[in-house]
This record gives sequence, C-alpha cells and structure tokens, in this order.
Amino acid sequence: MRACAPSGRQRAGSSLTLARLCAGNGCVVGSAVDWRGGGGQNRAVLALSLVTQLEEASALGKGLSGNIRSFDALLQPENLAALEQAHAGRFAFLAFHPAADVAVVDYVRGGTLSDDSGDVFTLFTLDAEARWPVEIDQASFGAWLDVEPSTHPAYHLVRMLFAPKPAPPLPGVAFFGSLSGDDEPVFASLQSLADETAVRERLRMLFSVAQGALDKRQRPSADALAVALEQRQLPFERGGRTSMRQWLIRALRYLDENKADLVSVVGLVV
Amino acid sequence: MKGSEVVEGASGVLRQLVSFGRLAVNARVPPDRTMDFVSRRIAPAIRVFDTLEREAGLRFDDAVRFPFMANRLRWAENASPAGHTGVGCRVSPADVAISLGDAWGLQSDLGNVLSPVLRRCALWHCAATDLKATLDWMFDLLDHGYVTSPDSLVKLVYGLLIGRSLVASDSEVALRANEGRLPSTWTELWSSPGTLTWTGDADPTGVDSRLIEHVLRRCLERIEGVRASATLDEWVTGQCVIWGVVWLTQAVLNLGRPKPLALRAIDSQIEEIRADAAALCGEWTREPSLEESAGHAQEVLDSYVAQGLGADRFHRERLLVPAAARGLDAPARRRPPWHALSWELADPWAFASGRLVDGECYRTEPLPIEALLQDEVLNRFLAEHGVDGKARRDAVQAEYVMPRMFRFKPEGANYQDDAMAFAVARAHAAAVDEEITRELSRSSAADASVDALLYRFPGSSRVAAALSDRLAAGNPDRAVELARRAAVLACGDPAAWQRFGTRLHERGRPDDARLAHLCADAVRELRPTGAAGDRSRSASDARD
Repeated sequence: MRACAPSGRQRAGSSLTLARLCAGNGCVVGSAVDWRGGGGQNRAVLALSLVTQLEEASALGKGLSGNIRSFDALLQPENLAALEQAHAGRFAFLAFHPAADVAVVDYVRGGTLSDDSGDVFTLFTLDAEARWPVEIDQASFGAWLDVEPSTHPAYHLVRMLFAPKPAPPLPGVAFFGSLSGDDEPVFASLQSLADETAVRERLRMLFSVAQGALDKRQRPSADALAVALEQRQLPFERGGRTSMRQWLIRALRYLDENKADLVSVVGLVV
Repeated sequence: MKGSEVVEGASGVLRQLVSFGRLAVNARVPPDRTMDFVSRRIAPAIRVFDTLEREAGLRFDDAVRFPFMANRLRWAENASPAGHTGVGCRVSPADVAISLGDAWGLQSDLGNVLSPVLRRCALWHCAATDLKATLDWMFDLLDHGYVTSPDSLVKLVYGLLIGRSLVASDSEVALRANEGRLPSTWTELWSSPGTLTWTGDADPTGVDSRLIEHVLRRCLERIEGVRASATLDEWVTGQCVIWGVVWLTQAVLNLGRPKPLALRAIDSQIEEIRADAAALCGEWTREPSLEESAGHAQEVLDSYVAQGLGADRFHRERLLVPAAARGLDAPARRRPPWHALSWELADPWAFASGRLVDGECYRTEPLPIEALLQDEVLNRFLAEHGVDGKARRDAVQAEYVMPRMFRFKPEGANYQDDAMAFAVARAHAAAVDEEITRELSRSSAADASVDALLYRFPGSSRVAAALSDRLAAGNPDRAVELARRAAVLACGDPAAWQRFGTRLHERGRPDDARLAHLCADAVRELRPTGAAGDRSRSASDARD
C-alpha cells in the first residue's frame, strides 16, 4: 500500500488545480519539504551562548528581575556550579580562524563535536550573538572571514588565556579544569591537519585523553594531561596559572563589544 | 492556462477550513461550536470539491505537499491512509475536508484521548516510511488544522518514541503494535489493534536522541516562522499553532532523561514562547489586533531593558512582536495588515474564538456599547439575572470589550458566564446585521464607499454579495472578485454560488460560470427546507 492507488473516481480531461494552497496564510508546506530535503547525512549543529546557560543555572529565570547586569555577577561561583558539577573538571576552548583553518570549521559544521567531546564542555567563539539557539551552518562565521588572523576574537581569547606568555599558534584546543578556579590551561595544537577527517581523528584522541586526565580526584589535572599528551607525542603548550573566571569575564566582555558570542554545541547527552 | 475563478474559490474554502483547525489548537472550542462549523462549512465544502473534481478534475497541485490522514466516513480501500499529497497521489481536497471534519469530531468527543484514527495512521506511516518522517508528518498535521488537541499528539509521540527504543527498527514499531502483522488495506488497518501502550519495560532514556533533536529543530523553525509573520492573520494563527508545537516539544525534551544545561536553558526559552502565546490568545477580544497586545509587549520589553538585556534580545527571545512590526508606532499598528483580521480569517476566527456567531458579524472595530444596550432580548436577559440600571452598562462592557481573561461580573449579577457570552454575541450579531442593512442602503458604488464597507465588515458574505450586485455593470472584474468572496464566506449558500456563476457569465467566462452553478446545485441539496442555523443570505433574501 505504499503508492497512492487510483481511487476509482473519474478524472476529466482538463484538470484545474488547487495551486499554491494556503500560500497566503503562513502554511509551512514548502518549508517542511525544503527542510527535510536539506537534512542529509550531516547532523546540523545547534549552538547556544554560555551566557544563556549560566542565566538558566542562576535559577533566577528570565521573568524575574534577576539583576544580572554584568558578566561579573553572572559568573559567580554558584552560577558556575551547575556546569562544574556536570562536567567534573573537563572544559575546553576550541580556537580557530574560520577562513584560515578551513578543516576545523568544516569539522564544527560536520556535527560530531557534541558526540566527540563527550562530557568535556567545549566552547568556541561565534561571529554572532547566540542568546537564542542558532544553527551552525554554511553561513556561520561568515562575518569574520576577512578578519586578520592576529586580531580574530579566538586569537584574542587565547592570548588573554596565556598572557603574559606568548600565545600558541592557532588552531588548537585549550583544556582546563574549571570555570571558577585557577588553572593552568593546556593548549593542544590542531595545526597542519589536512581536512575535516584528520581534525576529527585528532580531536577524538584529545577528548578521550582529556576525559581521563582532567579528573580532579587525581593529581593536578594539567600535569596529568600534559603527561598523557607527551606520551602520545601530541604537540601542546602549557599556560601559566590563570584565573579562569577572570578570563571568562574578560572574554565575554570582549565578545559582547564585538557583537560575537561564546557558545557550546547543544547536545542531548549529558 | 487561464486561472479559474471557481478553483480559486475552492482554494479559499479549503484555507478557511485549515484556519479553523489551526486556531482551535489552543482555543478549547466547545464541541457544539465545532460541530456547528462542520455542518455549516465542511459539509458544503465537500460538495463543492466533489463537484469540481467530477466536472473539472480539481486536485491538489503537484508542487503542494498537503499532509493527509484517512477518515472513517469515506476513504478508498487501497489508498494510503497517511502521507502528503504530491505527484501521483490521488488524495483529493474533498478527502482532506472529510478528514478534517472527522478529526475534529473525534477530538471533540474524546478530549485528550488519542484518536484511534490518528494512532493507526501514524503506525502505518512509520512502517511505510520511517519514524523521523512520521514525526514530520505529525508536525505537519498540527500545522494544517487536523490536531486540535496537542495533548493527544503528545501521547502518540511518546508511544512511538518509547516504542521505537524497545525494538530494532522503525517498521517493527508497527509490527509490535499489531501483533506481528502489517495491515495492507484501510479496512485491515482500521480493524487492527494498533496498540501504543508500553508499560513496565518502557525506559525513556533509551529514546533515540537524534529524534528528540529533530523535534526540537522543527519547533525552533516554526517559532521563526511565526516571528516572520507578514500579516495579522499569520500572526494570530501562528500563535495558536506554536502553543501546541511547544507543548509537544517540551513533552519530548522532558522524556525522563536528565538534560544538559544548554537543553534546560532552551526548554525554559520555549516555555516563555508558549506562555507568551497563551497570554496573547487570552488578550485578544472579538476583534484581535496587534494594538491589543502592544501594552503587554511593551511591559516585557521594558523589563528586558531594565535588566540590561536590551531590546535586541527581547525581539530575539520572545514572540510578542512580529519581526515585521518591530518599531511600528501605534498609528502604524492600526493600519493593514496589522489592524484586523482579513476576510479569510474572520469566519474561522468567529467559530474558534467563540465570541462571535460567525464571520458575518465580525467587525474591524467594536460596536459602541449603546448599540448593544438597546437590544431588547439582551436587556431582558440582564433583568432576569439581577442586573439593572447602571450595572447593565458595566456588565455588557465587561463581556463585550474585555479580553476573556479580564472579564468580571458586577455585584448582584447571577448569570452564568457562558449564557452571558451567548446573549452578548447574539445582541452583537443583531446589531451588526441592522448596521449592515443601514450602511448598504446609504452607500454607493464608488470605490471609497465599497472599500469602507469591506474594511468594516470583511467577513460578511451579505456585504460582499450586495456590493458585487452593485458593481456588476460598472466594475465587472471587482464584481466577480466580490462574488467569489461571498461564495467562499458562505460556501453553504446556493444563492452565493449562483451569483458567482452569474457574474462569471456576465464577464464572458461560461465554463467557469457553469462550474459555479453546478456548485450551487450541489450545495442546494444539502439544505433541508426551512433550514435553521445557516445565517448566510444574499441581498435578495427577505429578512426575518
């Protein structure tokens, strides 16, 4: 019964048709078809601002006069607690330039970041504000394509993270153990990876190493991670002791001024 | 080929049916109102569609993908019971109309209990395609007026998603529900068990997260669709539909698994959307307008600004102002397309909102209260229920002008809310009827005069018919257009189709004219002599 069989009614020769039905009343017939067609193999990626997530965690909700006027107030330890508990010391910042680091951009668009990162909470910068969920698609990151690599927001954030040491070259992923405490970020390089597949392989390895090494219950996490990366001969650099909270506040301010955002991919698995 | 005016009319009739269904999603339309709409609009629509199909091969355009579902009254044995129209599909507009009526009737009877037709059709669809496509199909049904009780859709989606987590493939969901057999005809399907109950071994955390993501995406996309509304019609129907879409989505997101923070945040955000939709629907009076919700929207915007979140964020996160209306001042909000519903939505709105007898008495602005206070029947009702003197005005004002959620009862009044609502609606209808008679008699055929009448009474078949007669000699194209409107608005009135045919004949369109006259004949067969309840009439009918 798969095909529509003839219903037995007479059809006259000249057929007049109900064209463009419901077109004037906001009917979504067209968009349902288009969207299904565009789904394809790639899972499209939904991203959401860290700000929105912290607001949710703050338990003050949107409807109340929460007085979260400043990032300083938003990033109070109690607001960060929900994320810190859920991710038990596993955080990362994926830094790349959308024009120069095509392989990494393709990887992000490819839709596996959520699965690959597992319970490592992974942030990256987006060229638009994402307080409401946004789709990461072909048009994403477009506003930054012409930005000089050295002034791209992701570079700025990495520079801030590593100051006063010189910033490691992008692309790469910085791992750290908390959002509220002092940590020594470990920046694993993603340089010289030919394409999306190579990036995926490397990141899967890095995430799996990070999940093992960044558990706070063991030795200081940055050391453990550095050792593990060393053992696998994966290139990395270490940053000095940094207040992650201060870094986040400065990062959010900087991005806000530049009409950008710090986002994570929305995954369904904790 | 040249477009057919009658086919355009048929399209208009189908759009009205779909609109009712969409508006009814959050409206909790009482069963008798739904059945009223079915008998006055669905029944003649089926006749019209059948006639045009027989005489002119009326069918859905190949490019249109209209979702359909079988019905209990008339469904071809070997036809697919669920899917979308398209190339090669034989489901007709009449089939769709019957299915809409059957679906509404079932939901009126069953409330939140899942329709046995919908359940079986969904299982069949899942076996014939896959679960993801079936989820899409269910969203499409919701968006095309079939589903007026989103709760029942939640039960169905739960049953399918959890059921799928217990078996190895999508088609096994149907197999397991039907004791190992897949029905191959509609009769078999209808008599199959189609059980969706899984107890005991139902672990919601096993549900495929990609399906949940898919549902979330459909929801977010639909929210953007509402935000992009270009007219009040789209905005109002969009708010009604989005309430159901978010309700369904939240149920799915909360399928018993612990949610990561990002998803909790999104859940909260769409909850706000749903609350906004409920608030807007509660604020609309019998003549919805963008202006009505402007105050509420401004309050929320002010709170965003006060919290340092900014206007941009308000517009991005909340669904209180359509994007196209952002920044419109009050005078602009009171102009088309935001000032009132169009003629296409007036009648479905009347029935779904329950505040008007039908589209005939939809008036773009409220009547002066004095017009209602002169109504004898209403005054008797008030006197019988402990309301007199100044309190009469207060009572009528409260019912007539206030949005549902702000209604109050003056001291000493002992009427039931429903009875008062009906009494006022009746008085309003009578007053508008008189006003139309007056205005028609003193208006002219001049464009401004015609436009003014259509502006004030967009949903009145009587006005459109009278103006069509008036313009027949001087402006035959407009006369045809108005005759078409009159026929769509009163699709059960043979005189309306007759007039449409006459105008088409006068315009030198004999083929189209013949079709219109055949529609008139078909619709005439529906009317028993001395039919009660159909208030549509042409200018030539005698008044009561």
